[in-house]
Amino acid sequence: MKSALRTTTEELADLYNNAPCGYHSLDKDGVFIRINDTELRWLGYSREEVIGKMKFHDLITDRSLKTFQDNFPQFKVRGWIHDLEFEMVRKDGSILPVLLSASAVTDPDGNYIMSRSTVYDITERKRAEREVVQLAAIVEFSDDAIIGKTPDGIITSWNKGAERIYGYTADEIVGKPISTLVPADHADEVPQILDKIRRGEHIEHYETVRRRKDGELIEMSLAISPIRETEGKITGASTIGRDITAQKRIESINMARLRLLQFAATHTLDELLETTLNEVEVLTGSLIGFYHFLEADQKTLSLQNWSTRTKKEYCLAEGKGRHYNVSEAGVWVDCIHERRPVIHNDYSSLPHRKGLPAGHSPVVRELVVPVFRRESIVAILGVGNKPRDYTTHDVETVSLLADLAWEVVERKRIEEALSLLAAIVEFSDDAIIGISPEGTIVSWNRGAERLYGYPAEEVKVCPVSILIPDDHPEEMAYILDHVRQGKPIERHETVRLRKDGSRVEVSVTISPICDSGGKIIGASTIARDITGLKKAEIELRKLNEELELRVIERTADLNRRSTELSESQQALMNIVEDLNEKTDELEGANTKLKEFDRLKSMFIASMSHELRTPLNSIIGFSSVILNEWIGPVNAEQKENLAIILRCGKHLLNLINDVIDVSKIEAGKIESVAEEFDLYDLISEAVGLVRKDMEEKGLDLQVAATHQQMHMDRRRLLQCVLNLLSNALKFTEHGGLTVETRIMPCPGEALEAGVAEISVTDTGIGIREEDLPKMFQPFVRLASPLQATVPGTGLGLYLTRKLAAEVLKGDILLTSEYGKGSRFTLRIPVRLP
Amino acid sequence: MKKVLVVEDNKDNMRLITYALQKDGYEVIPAETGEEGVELAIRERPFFIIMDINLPGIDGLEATRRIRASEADGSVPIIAITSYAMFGDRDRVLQAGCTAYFEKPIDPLTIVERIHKAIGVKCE
Repeated sequence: MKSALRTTTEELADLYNNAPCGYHSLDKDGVFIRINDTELRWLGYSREEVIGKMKFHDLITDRSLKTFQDNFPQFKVRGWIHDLEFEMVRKDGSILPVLLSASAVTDPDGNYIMSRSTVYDITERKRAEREVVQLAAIVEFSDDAIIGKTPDGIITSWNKGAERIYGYTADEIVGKPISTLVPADHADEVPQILDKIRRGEHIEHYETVRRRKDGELIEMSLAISPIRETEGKITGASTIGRDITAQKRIESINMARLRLLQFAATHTLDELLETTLNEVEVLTGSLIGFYHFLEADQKTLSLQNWSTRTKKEYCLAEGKGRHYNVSEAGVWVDCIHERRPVIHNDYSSLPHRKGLPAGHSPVVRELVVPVFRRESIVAILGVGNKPRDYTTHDVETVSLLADLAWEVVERKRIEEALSLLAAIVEFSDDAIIGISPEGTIVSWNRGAERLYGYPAEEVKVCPVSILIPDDHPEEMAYILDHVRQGKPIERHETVRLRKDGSRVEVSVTISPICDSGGKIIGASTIARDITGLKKAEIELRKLNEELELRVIERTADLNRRSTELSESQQALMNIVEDLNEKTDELEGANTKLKEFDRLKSMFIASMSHELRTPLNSIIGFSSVILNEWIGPVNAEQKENLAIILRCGKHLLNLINDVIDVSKIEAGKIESVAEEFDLYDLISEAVGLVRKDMEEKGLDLQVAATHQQMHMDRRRLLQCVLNLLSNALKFTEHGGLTVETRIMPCPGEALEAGVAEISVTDTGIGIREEDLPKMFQPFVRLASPLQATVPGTGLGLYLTRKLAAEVLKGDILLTSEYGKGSRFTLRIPVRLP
Repeated sequence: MKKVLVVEDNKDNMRLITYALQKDGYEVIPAETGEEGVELAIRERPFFIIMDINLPGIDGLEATRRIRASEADGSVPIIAITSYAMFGDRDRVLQAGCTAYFEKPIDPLTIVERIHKAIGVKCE
């Protein structure tokens, strides 16, 4: 019995000491009176160090001491405490987290005498708890969408990342099927995914499309894993989703850019723009695309192209080449006013919206971005009618491609302009040479080959001085000095040496050429053979001298003079024809080459000066003699003098016509409006031709109305007179009728009405096929009168130019061959 | 006889204008260069001046400016005559101080009458 008891006691002691938990007892002051081996082992102390020597609160952290003090009074009253967490401190200073339960022991009087405690080591549990918290935080704050779902696809958990990516809050979505996030055209993915999950398979890098709460489609990369319980049973699935929309967008933009660059190499500008717009449409999900260029004045837009779909479905109105004034355009130019991309997601409610062109379908949404170069906007690209609102992503996409399109367009334009320039230079009649700042020839066109006789390959890298005759030694230094200082040399008349040693008189214009940084990299020299011009000048001068001689000598031999004058007229005609050829040639280059235009103007100015000076004398002295200021002149001499005078005046008219045409073509003629009565003007014009009419025996009917005009009187008179003279020239029988008519014309620009002045003749008339040629310069139709009727071939051309450019009107022509013609000048009563 | 200063380097023109002015009873003071014209304008105090614009040395515009600068009241009429019938010349001529502007060729039969009209002289 005793031994049995002993055995029981030993067993109990063993159980006490080696239990998987700690046991200890404390006296009423908290001093250890008993402690088991397990707790001692945990704490690292020996029993001797602890029993009767240490108190419980010596072995806990300050934080736990507070827990102890908070709970102890209650413990004493109630007699027990359960599962209280303490941090005990090991001998080595490390912390042992424990869960402590204790019961109080009291004496029969109820006084507290001791406590017995059970202590569990909760190190592992604490660590697991911390990990769970960390994991939860990771899940919660991950950028990725992390979603838990049942094997049937019902959403059970939903992190912040999922809220951000999909737009649903956890409250809204938990409990709903995962298919809520799947667009209709991807619906069959869900059962396939769930099948795999139920079979325990993982899905990784699964790229697909999902739909946000706001309807926007997003590109997602998904990783889906089954969740198993410890026994291996699949209880659900986790989906980790990453929004790869931006990445995909950049990839597609880059692909589009690559395609466009390849496309550009083999297609025209128009095709490129259209393709760009098609790409932008696809990338932004738009249904409309358009591209405009903005001119340097920042005020005029030219519509360059529409996307293929827009052309087909939206805009039946003619578009290409149309110019818009920015100030008159609709909201789609807001981006120019604001100088930044503009989105109109609610187009119909815009207060400043203007009507669309006829044939244009309605616009619902619109995004237009400007393309900047330096400080200016050079183009705008717009898209419209995306089924959802445009976002900043679309702005980025459109901007990138608009920019690219401009870049490619610019390169193409430069290439085209360069090849045009090269062709102009190559085929110019003038000798055009490029020289380095040191005077070495670097380029040599066909004109130069013709003028100087050297083929290009023979002179490249030669000094330009090979063209300068020995007796002009200073000229090379003069030219190079100017070039190096960046000064142009204009119309320098000099002599050049040909390959065969002969000399040629030339007019040379040398323009320094700078690179974009302003550094002088050479010069262009344009030389024109003026031998012909010089000859004509000399001829005229000689005539002039001879005339003066005759005036002094009073010789009667004036008939021969008249013939000579006719010859000089012919020479002038040749010069004018030559000039006309040059003008045509220059006209082609006009838009691209202001420089050539300037040369033309200078050439004409100089021509007019050179020709008018001798004319001054021819006309002046003829009239002085004719009027017998110097002495009596007989009848035959008078007749001959009158011929000189008439021819001289004809020449003068011709020169004036040429100058007027060149002024108009250079845009250098301006309307000078003054107030006058139309009736008076018609009377004046009629008065000037009345004598010639009577001489030809023609009838003249005038029906003019009194109408106050605000118009360029001088130019209108010139036009009316030209029409009258023209009619007179081609009418042998019958007569001329001049009528005016005022038509009220409601509308903004022509409020005051339109005046019609018509000149009808009973002359030879014009064949229908010749009508379109009538207003072209230097066209003289084949007719029985051709040989006998004088004319410059510029009259009608000039008249129509004046009517259009200066009088802001037009000329209409109707004619019946053999019966007569009617020219009608229509002009506003008031110039704006 | 009233004096008229004619500044003109072209002998033909000078001769022609002289015919026209003498016909109307003026005495012509000829000058061939701008400098000479300025000097004679100050010394001779002509009734009016006919000024060619394209001259050797200082041009007619500069000569006109100098004459204007020398005057107390800016009253002598200066009639510019030029063949530069290109855009902008009229403005340049009037800005330099010319009273009126005629383009070549001048008509000797009407030139004096036109000048009278331009400077406000009644025909005597």
